[in-house]
Amino acid sequence: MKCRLLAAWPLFILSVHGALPAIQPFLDQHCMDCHDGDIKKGDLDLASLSTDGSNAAALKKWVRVFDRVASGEMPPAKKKQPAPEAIQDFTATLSSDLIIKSKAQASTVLRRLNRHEYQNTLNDLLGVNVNVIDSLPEDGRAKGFDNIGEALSISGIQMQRYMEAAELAINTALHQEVRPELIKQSATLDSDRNRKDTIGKQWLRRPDGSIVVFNQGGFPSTVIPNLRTKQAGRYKLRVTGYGYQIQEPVLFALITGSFNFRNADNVTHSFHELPIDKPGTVEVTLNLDANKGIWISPQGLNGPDGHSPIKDGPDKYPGEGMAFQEVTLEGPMMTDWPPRGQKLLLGEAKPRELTPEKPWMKGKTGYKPIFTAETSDPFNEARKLLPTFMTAAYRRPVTALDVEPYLKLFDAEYGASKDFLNAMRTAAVAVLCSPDFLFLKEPSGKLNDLQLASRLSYFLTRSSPDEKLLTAKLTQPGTLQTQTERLLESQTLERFVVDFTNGWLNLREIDFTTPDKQLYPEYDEWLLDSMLRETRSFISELIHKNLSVTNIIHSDFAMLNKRLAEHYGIAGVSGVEIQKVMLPTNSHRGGVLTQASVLKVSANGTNTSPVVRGVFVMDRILGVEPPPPPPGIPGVEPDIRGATTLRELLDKHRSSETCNGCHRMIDPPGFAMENYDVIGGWRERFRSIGEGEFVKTTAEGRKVRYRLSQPVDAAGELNHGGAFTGMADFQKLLLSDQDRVVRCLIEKLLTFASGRPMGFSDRSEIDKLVTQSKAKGHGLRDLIHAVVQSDIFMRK
Amino acid sequence: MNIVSKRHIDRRTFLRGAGTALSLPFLEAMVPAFATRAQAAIAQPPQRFLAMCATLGFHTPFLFPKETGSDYTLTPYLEPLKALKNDFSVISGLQHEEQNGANGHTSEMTWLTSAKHPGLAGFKNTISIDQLIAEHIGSQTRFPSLILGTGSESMSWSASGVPLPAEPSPSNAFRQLFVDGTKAEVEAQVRGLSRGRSILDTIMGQAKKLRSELGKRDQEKLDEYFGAVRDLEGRLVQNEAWVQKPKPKVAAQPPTDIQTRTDAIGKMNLMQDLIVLALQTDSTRTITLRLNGMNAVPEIEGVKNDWHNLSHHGQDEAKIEELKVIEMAEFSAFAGFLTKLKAASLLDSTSVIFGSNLGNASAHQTANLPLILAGGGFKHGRHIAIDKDKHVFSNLFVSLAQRMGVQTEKFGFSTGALDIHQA
Repeated sequence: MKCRLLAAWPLFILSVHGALPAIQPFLDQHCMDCHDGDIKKGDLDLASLSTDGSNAAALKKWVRVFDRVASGEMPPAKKKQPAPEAIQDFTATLSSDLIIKSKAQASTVLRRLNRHEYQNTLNDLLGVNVNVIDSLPEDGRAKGFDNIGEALSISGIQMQRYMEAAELAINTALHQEVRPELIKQSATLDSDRNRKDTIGKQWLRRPDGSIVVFNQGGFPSTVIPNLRTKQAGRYKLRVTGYGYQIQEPVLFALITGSFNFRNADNVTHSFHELPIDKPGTVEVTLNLDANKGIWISPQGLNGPDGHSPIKDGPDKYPGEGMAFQEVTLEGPMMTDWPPRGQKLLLGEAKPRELTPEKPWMKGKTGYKPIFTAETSDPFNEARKLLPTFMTAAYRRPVTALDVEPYLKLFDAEYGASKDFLNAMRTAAVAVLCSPDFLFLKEPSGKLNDLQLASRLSYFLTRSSPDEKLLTAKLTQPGTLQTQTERLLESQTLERFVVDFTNGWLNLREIDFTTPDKQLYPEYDEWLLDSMLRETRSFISELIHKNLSVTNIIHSDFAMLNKRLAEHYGIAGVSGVEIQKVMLPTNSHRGGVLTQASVLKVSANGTNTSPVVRGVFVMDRILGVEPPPPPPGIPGVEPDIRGATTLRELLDKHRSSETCNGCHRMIDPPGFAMENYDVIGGWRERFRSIGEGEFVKTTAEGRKVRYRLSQPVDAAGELNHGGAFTGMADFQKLLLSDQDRVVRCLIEKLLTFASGRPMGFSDRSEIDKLVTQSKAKGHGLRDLIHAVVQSDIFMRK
Repeated sequence: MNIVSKRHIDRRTFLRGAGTALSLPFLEAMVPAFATRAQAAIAQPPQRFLAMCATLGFHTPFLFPKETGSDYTLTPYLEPLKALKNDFSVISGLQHEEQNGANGHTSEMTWLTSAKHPGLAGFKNTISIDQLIAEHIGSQTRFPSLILGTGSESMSWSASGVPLPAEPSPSNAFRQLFVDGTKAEVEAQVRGLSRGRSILDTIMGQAKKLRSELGKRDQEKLDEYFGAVRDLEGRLVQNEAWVQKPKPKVAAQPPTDIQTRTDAIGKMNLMQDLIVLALQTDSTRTITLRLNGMNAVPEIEGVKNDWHNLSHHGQDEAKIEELKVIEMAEFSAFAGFLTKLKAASLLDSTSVIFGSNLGNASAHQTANLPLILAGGGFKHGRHIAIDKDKHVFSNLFVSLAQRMGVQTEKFGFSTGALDIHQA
């Protein structure tokens, strides 16, 4: 052994460790036996691990080395342990070095607006409501978030899409001569003559004039005839009706789509209820594109086996139905006229539509109208309007130098086309494709008032800063506090909650898998819609009431509607709206880990994996990123035939020492969650489609076809001690180290807010924030304020 | 003697917007266009490349024959291809190294690039093989490459490791490839292209100014922006050269996009038909097609369950049988496509790879990838089992790139060139 060390000595001296000779002896004595170039245990070769700070992967490994030695995990218990002073020296020296290296990397890389931010900004700037997200490629991700500077790229095709999107949005603002008329349309199911055949055969006309529908699904169609939006805008929809031959209020889905509903663009907007004793009206305000229709689709209508409206006749059919009365659509509702884009780009000039060469073309679909606008002094008008437009677009005052190239562009285009509107549009498209618009310009070091305004606005409203923010002295803590409070109170906070939880809890991928119909027949779209609302409302509630972040681990309340309450087995909740419900004891609910959305997104459509869920909890709740599996290890093949549980298949994680090292950290949270299935329901036995016991339950009016097989084993032991029998104990164990949970959430908030991952050099400030938060009771609202006031947020 | 007065794209046109030394792939390929026409005149059809990836995998026990060599028993998925036995090879045992990534499906990102650990910290993708080929021969056709998919994501990645969006609409693609505008429309297009280039010139100037104010890491990020603008500019310049030229005439009717989101086979067929037309008219010589699985029930007779769900069959035989129905439909569609290519005398000059980034979809494994290599003038008819010491997938890409005229000995993490005639 000694000979080998001596022979390899020169290698060590020459190696990149030359940068850090102080820790060399410690590494040689306690680490190199397993972690040299030959053995490389756990794929860690300390002899050749780069100490170049700009090598992200290597730096990450060094941080891990630090963490594992500092926590006493390494060297492993069975090896000779270093003296405490030796560990102290080692960690102190390594830490100083890592702080320097990590600080050099710890700055937000030039951060492009992501799709959502881009769309919100474009719409706010021009005063329109266009959908451009779908035409832009998906954003790259880092740490689960899609707004991290270094992960956001841009391709030539994407540049083209930006040009097209800018053109679309500008045209939407400019191509309106007069304020659009507010049109009120009204219809009933028989407004279309074709439907008259269905009434009397499958639908029932009642004496009060209503038409009762007994079918859910597409046939016969319950798309409301004749209701159709002419223009994009904000609309008010009113649906009047009631439940017929049904014990509880009748549920329907509001679906919007292209008018003939034959395109693949149907979107389920929301779910609503109508009462049973007398007619009720549901009112919804929503944004709709041009040429859209409304489909009111009743849900969950049951009827006795062997009967149908056709068989019995609609008047004799005893099953559940929904009585449709009047449906009205009013809009577009405009608050601002003319749209901001028109004011910014045309000033006093008025847009005017040109008649096409062949007037009949106007009626055809796909016809692109041509507008123009005149002004007496186009060149000077442009010199007045462009700087204002650019200031608004760039989120900062512009200089003459900034404006010059765009004026040149205007001049050239006007010279060629003699069309003021066209020339302004050309210059505007260029502005909206320039880096000053697409990227957040943040110089090194402390951000100034304007830069903070942008950062704060994109954090909490997901769009560009408004007038108040642009004129506020945000570098002053008091002003920063006031403005943050204002944003927390604003309607736009919902955008923050949606985007943040999409990244933090991966809710973006909620629909990545579809639950197996045989195993989970009770799953429906309403549950999906409700589970997302649950988690978003929960986080919103923590913010509004400044409740402790520990509620993430366990709370005495939940945000539920009827569907969720039924799913969770909690009595006494009615209505489709989400409401705050105090949880009964032994409800198995409380905290984010028992919410269906999280339970679904950390599983697939067929089975749960303690490893996948364990990684989810470790990374997103506890702030520990587990290393990836060693290369070449095949995944386990799940077996849903009922013979073995995944936990049994994962036995190697316990019995093998190589696996155990990481898996005794990763698996336990996953085990604690095993009592919750892939749709977040409570289970004490696994469902299978092979072996098992028959179940006498019905779902959607039919007998279920799954069986119950193996019992669930949710017991486990945390890495640093603490045994638990299931979720309740597990939650208590986590709550005994609240700081860890708070630290993780702070990290996530800072990552999302600053657009960069947190690194080793950020740890000391994050620790300070944790201490600060603790003193105030860990309230989430306070925490957001603390994040905004932090050095990390206020610097690039 | 015919005087070919073709416009040879002026280098200066490109360099006008330069300023920083960035690699300009198109410059390499700005050869006078008549060179390749001459090649065609000698009746040497140009080589083509097509890569098709089914993202939810194929159940390989139904694909790989038990025997190797040319005397193999047809497996279920090879049944539809039996009439074309000598036009394709089945290759087993291939894989890219270290494909463990951010989740079970991130290997979609690296199927054509071979980069490691897709989606994990510090991951930066590299150029996909089709784009490398396009860099070298792309300027010879109206479209340097055609990036298609049944959704908006593609298999192709740019030289700067940026994902390239797919064209999901066959009718759009058809229009771009074959529909000439009216004289007024063409004029408008020319003006539009010129306007587009003016816009790009303006913002390029702005970007150069900004660059000088930034730190090193930010400059690198802005260089991506430069690359994108440069790329689009190149595209516009190429379009300007082509826009006045009438597009090739095809007898086929413009396709109607399929509205049913779940009609996967319908979409696959439409795209395949479009590809035949594109190759017949020499509109492009390198194509990728991404065939997405879905989290829904595909519209195939006999299939009642969610496709993604079925691919995670968990050894359940009923699920595997139903999955088989879906995959048989894919292979039948593919067989139909190869037949059409052969009938149009295109198969011999087109190297087609058809497979998946997943070797075992149920366990999200990326080893032992399913792969059919068809056409391209190779000698086929065998099941080639690549032994596990030489299993590097990108070695195949090296040979295919060479066949396309790219002078390279290496691609991604290749360790050599895989010559299937020797394997």
